[in-house]
Order: sequence, then structure tokens, then C-alpha cells
Amino acid sequence: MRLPFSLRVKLLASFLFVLLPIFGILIADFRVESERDIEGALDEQMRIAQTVGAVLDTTFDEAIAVGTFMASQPVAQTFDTSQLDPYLQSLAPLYPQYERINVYDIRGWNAGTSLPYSPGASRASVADRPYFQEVLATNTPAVSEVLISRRTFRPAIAAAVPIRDDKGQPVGVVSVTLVPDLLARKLAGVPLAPGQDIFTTDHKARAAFDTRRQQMAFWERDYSRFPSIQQALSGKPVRLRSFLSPIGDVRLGALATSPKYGWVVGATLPVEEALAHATVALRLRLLSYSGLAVLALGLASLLAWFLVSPLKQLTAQAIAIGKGELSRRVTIATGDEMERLGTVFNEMAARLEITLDDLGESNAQLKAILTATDHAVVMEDLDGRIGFLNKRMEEWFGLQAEDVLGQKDEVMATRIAALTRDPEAFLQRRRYLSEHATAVLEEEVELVRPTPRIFRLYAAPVYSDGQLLGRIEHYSDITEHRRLERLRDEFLSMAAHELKTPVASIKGYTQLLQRWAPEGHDPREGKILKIIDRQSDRLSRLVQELLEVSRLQLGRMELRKERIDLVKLAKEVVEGIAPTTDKHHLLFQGPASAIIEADRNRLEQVLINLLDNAIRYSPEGGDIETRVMISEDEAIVAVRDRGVGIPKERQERIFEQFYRAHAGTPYDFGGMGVGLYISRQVVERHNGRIRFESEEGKGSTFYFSLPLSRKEN
Amino acid sequence: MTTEKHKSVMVVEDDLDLLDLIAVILTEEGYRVVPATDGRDALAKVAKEMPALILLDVWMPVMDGPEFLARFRRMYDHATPIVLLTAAEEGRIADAEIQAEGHLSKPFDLDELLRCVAVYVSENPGSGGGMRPSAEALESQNDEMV
Repeated sequence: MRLPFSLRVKLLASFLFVLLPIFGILIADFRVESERDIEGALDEQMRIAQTVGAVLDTTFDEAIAVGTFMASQPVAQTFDTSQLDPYLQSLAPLYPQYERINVYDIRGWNAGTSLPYSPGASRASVADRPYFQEVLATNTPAVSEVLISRRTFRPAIAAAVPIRDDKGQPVGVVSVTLVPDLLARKLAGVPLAPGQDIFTTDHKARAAFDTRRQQMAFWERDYSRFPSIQQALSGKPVRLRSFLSPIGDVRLGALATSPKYGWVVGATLPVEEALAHATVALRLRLLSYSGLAVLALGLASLLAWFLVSPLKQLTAQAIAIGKGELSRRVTIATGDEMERLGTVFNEMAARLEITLDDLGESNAQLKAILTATDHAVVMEDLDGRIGFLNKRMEEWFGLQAEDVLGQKDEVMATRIAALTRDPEAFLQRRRYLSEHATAVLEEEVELVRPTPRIFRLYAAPVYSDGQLLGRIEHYSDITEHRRLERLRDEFLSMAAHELKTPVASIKGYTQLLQRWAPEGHDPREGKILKIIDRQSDRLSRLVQELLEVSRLQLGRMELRKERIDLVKLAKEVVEGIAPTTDKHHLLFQGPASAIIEADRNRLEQVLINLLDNAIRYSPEGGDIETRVMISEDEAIVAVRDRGVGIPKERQERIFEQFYRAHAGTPYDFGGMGVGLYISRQVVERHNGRIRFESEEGKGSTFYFSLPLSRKEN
Repeated sequence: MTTEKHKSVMVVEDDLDLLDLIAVILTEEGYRVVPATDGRDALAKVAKEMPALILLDVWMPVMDGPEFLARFRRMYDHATPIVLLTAAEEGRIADAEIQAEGHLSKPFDLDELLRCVAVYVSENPGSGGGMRPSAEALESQNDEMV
């Protein structure tokens, strides 16, 4: 990935990146530590809650002990206000921790009180108090829920003890009312942590005391709505990691129940307080981390500067070299790898300078060679733009280098096309070339202007190290070559003509003599005339073969194809040859027709050749069968003789030119040994095949096949 | 066949021996032979009398066969058949043969020659006398005479 930032930015970023894990460790550490602090705080709160629970139990036990003592006094059973009031009031100073001590008869009526009481005032009843009923019912001491005193209208807690008669049956109750701030007083000596809160509720979840909320409305005392209080009431200690307190701060805390009386004691602390230590530590660490980061960034900047300044120099140098200032050098003296890089860079620049000089030289040399060559050369790049053209290109096609260089090749092609015999065809092939970048084209381009000339165009893709660079086009002037070829053709034609005309005379006159005197003046004369006739035919055939072979070697056998009926043609040839021999029976067999596209004269030549051979190499006479057959999409012609056959060891070579299978045998009938060679060339030029079967002494069969015309007849 | 005899056949051939031979055999068969030794000679002679058939050699001095053929076809209608006497110089006669009715390869059998002449002469029963040259033909004929 390539980042679009400077080296400096990248370095700074990487330094910061390296510092990130440290930051992560700090945070993780803080989390672990705060976890530990919270757990510690919770333990502490639990301990406080349990301690307070124990204090609570002790407090209630003391109150019950006082009540028990009172209940056991004989005066208690009197339920006589006049006796009990003074008695209780005399005892009151001994128990400053109790608000009052009352005695109630079995119906709940107050029978005595430790408070100063105006005589004659009506006495209150506690018959409806649950604790009162509970004590009477169970005949055991009990601690009341949080009550609202009917005299003071303040919350109060009473420890009640039954007064028993002689038989142990409850006859009344002694009630010791605890001073509401008794717990506060008991806890006064305990140093509370900042924000520390301790509260207790009775066994009905009614708040008895809360260090932070000394003044609570009665209805505010109901804590039963808190699930954690309910849970604590069921006897399980509760640890609260975090909760929103009724006064709106986030706290943690522990709830425990007093073992004996089942009251709930809660100790809570703001989370903030619990974490105070860890937070301070984190702040300190963050501070040192920041310091480290700043230091690291400073170091990175410094490093970047060390790296960047030589690089800037190298960059400037590279740009200068790119612009051709090859002699520029850098001076980096940092004594490190940068200096080494600078040195290497300078060496490279020096070598580049030398190489470029060499390249320029060899380039000039190449251009000189291309310019001096007697061919027109033009080079196009992949976009089809002319990148180079040599002198000949300009001369031959009337082009100016500056007009076409860098232009699309169409510009040049249009100009050349205007000079050709068939501009449209030329342009069409150019279009093919421009659409097929890797096509190889070889063709002749005939110019009619300014002077008629024929060029051979060779166009081929140019590769360098397997990479396509463009295309080279190469024109060579073959006008003279073509002229010589034509001369040679004309010479051959004329030679054949000049040779054949006298033969025609000889043959004609011989035949004339034969016509005039069929039997001759002398019996030997007739025979001589026949020999002359035959030899002139042979001479003619030799001339013809010579001509054919010359043409084949020049690759100039021209076919003039037309639709012909092979059956008809073969039949005509057979019928034409039949009269020339007495010894042989020429038979013909074939279908109604077999339409092919072929050069009539050439095929005739092949048939004549095969039939001539058949006749010639059947000196004893016999049947010579010619058959035309049709097989799928081709027509097959078979010529069969019962003659001497071809020796096996000579069979392989019979289609070679100038090979004469019967040379030096009794069946050597002369000839140049080109008949089968020409036949094979003709058949193959028609996309056909020629083959034979032969057995020495039994005869030969020659087959040739030609594709049937695809056109519907 | 007798009516076809006495019809004129022009033979254009520079080899005088061959010309003589063809003349002898055709005369024997009853044709009237108009000999010409080259294309120009032939053109001059067809102007006077249009033959029923022209046997035309290919290679000749002064004016060769193909050139005669081209001029002749330009000057006259296609009515008169022309048979080329060739030595199978196909490259040379390729164009010319299109305008010729047929060809006879040298050397030929006399029977072959006679069959060929008989066929073309009978196919062209209307000729034998001169044909009216076209105006264009007359002009180029004038050019020739200049």
C-alpha cells in the first residue's frame, strides 16, 4: 500500500503506533487496580456492616437485659402507677442511653413510666403494637420495629420483656425505648471515611438509622422497595459493586444482617472514593506516558530530519538526471548508509552517462544502417503511430519524414494508397493490420505512380524481450525481379513455340505423306512414316514436359478452374486415345456425372499421362480400364493396366521429377521422367491426392481423387 | 458438308512450311485458304474478305496472335470464329483465348485439324462474304493505312 504522506508523517505515526501498546497496558493496569480497590472497598464495607450488626445486637441485648431486670422486680407486678412511676424515674439517670422505660399491664395500658409525668394525665395504650402482642404471645423478650412514638412523635425502638406471675405466665410488659440517636452515639467514635454511609433497618426493612440522613420523614424510612435489602433480610450478605443511591450518587456497598435480631446493616461508599487511589495512580502514569510520547515524537522528528534531508538531495538529483543533467552529483556526508546511498547513486549516474552515450552511438549506427539499406522500412508503435521511417520510404513513396512521424499510420497509408493500382484493397489490408496487432502480412503492392513499380510488403510485429513493441513494415522493390520472371516466362513460351512449330511441320507433312500413299511406294516407307510420326510426338511431349517442369519450378503453374464434368472429360480422353492403339482395349466406366471445379486442360493432361503410361507399359496389349467413382465428397479416377508393373524397390520414387522407374530395363521407352511428377503437382494443386498400386509383372493401377464441387447442380 | 466446302479459311502462321501444309490439306478438303504470315497481314486481308474461320498462330513477328485478336474483336463483331494454334503457352494466351473460340495444340494430327475446321465452319454458316466493319473499325483501319 502506498500512503500519500511524507516520510516524516510516516515516522511519527509509527512511533505513536509503537507507544499505543504502552497506553493499552496503562489502561488495563488501571482496570485491574480499580477492580482490586473496589473489591477491597467492598470487603471493608462488609466488615463495617458486620461490626455494626454486632454492635446492634449488643445494644438490643443490653436493653433487654435492663428490661428483664425491671420485670423481675416485685414492684413491676404491682402495675401501680404511684409506685412504678417514682421507681422508674429514680432509675432513669442510671440509663441515659434509654429514652424511657415503661411498664404496661396485660391490656397494654401504661402502668408506669420513667419520664416525668403529670399525675392524673391519661395513660396511653400499646395494645395495638405488634411487638407488645408478640411478647405476650411468645412470653419471650422482643425488639420492636421502628415505631413512631405516640408521645414524642419521633422514631423509636423498644426492647420489650414480659412480666411474669408466679406461675411464669405473662401478666405485663416492660418496654425499654432506645434513644433514637443511640446508634449514632455508639458510632461516634468510629472514624468514617469521606462519603461513608452506614444505615440500619429493622427486620421489616424500615430504616432505623442512616448516618447521612439523620432526618427522614416516616414514609422515607421504608426501604423495602430495594431488592438488595430484601435479599439481605433473607439472611444473605449482599455486595453491591455499583448502584445509584436515593440521593443520586453512584456508590458501592455491603449489606449484612445482625446475627441475633435480623436487622439489616448497610455500609456504602461513593465509587469515586473507592477508586480515588487508583485514579490518582492512573493520572500519574498518564502524565508520564504523555511525557514519553512527546519525547518519542521529538526523537522521530529528529530521525525523520536526518533521513529526509539526504533523500531530498537525492530526489532533486534524480529529477535533474531525468531532465538530462547527467553530470550532476550529490554530496551527502552523514557517514552512514545515506552517504553510501549517495555514493552508489553517483556511481549509477556516472555509469548512466556512459551507457547513454553508448546507446546514442549505437542508435545512430542503427539508424544509419536502416537508412543505407535498399529497402523501405517504417516502424509503428502500439498506437499505430509512425516512430521511424528510413530514406527509401521517403523516396519511394514521396513522403516527408516530418509529415508522418508521430502521426497515425493512416496518414501514411492514405498517401501510399493513392499511388497504388488498387487503393481500396490496399487500405482494406491496412485496416486488417491495424485491427490485428500481431498479424504477419506478406503481399505485393503495385504502384502505378509516379512510375510503375512492384513492391513486396512484409509487415510483422516487433517484440523486445517478449513484449510487443509495435510493427515493422518493410518494402522491397521487386519490379526488376518481376520483370525478369516475365521475361523468363515469355522465353519459355517462345521456346516451346519455336520448338513445337517445326515438330508440327514434321508431323503434319508425315501425315500428309501417309494420307497420299497410305501403303507407301515401298512397304518399308509406311513403317518409316509411322516412326517419324511417333518420334515427333515424343519430341513434342519432351518439349511440353520441359516447359511444364520449368513452370513448376518457378511456381508459376496457373490454374483456370471451371465447373466441369469429370466423367465426361475422362470419357472424351479415353475415346480420343483409343484409336491410337491396336493392341489395347480401352474400357471406360463411370456414373452419370461428377461435377468438379478444375482446370480442364491440366486434368486432361493428367489423364493422358496416366493412359499413355498404361499403354506404354503394357507392351503385350490387353485391357486398360478407366473408372470414375464417387465417394462422399470426392471423385476418384482409377486407371488400371495389366502391364509390366513397377518394381517394388522403385515404387517409392516414381513421383519424383526426372525419376524414370523403367530406366535401363527392356521397358525403357524414353521420356524425361516428369509425367507423374507433373500429374501429382496438378492433382495436389486441385486439393486432390494421387496414389497407385502395382505388382511387377501384373500391372499397375493409378488413382487420383478430387473434391466434388460444393455448388448445387 | 459440301455446302461448307469452298468456304474461306484464313490461316495466320509465320512458319511458311506449316502454313503451306495447312493450306495444302485444307485445299485438298475443298476449303479456300487465305494465307497470312502475321497479324498485320491478316488484318489487311480480313478487311477485303471476311473468312468463315481464322486459324491463328500465337507467336509471330510484326503483330502477334493476341494483338491481332484484340484488334480484330475491336473492329468487327464476334461472328467469325477464331481458333488458336498454340504450343500450350498458356501464360501467354490466357487473355487471348477468352476471345478465341478454341485452340489446337501444336503438333496436331491432320485429322484433328480437319475435324476442328469442319466444326467451326459449320457453326458459322452466315459468313463467307465480307462483313461490314463498324465505323470505329474503319477509323482504326484508316490509322493502320497511314
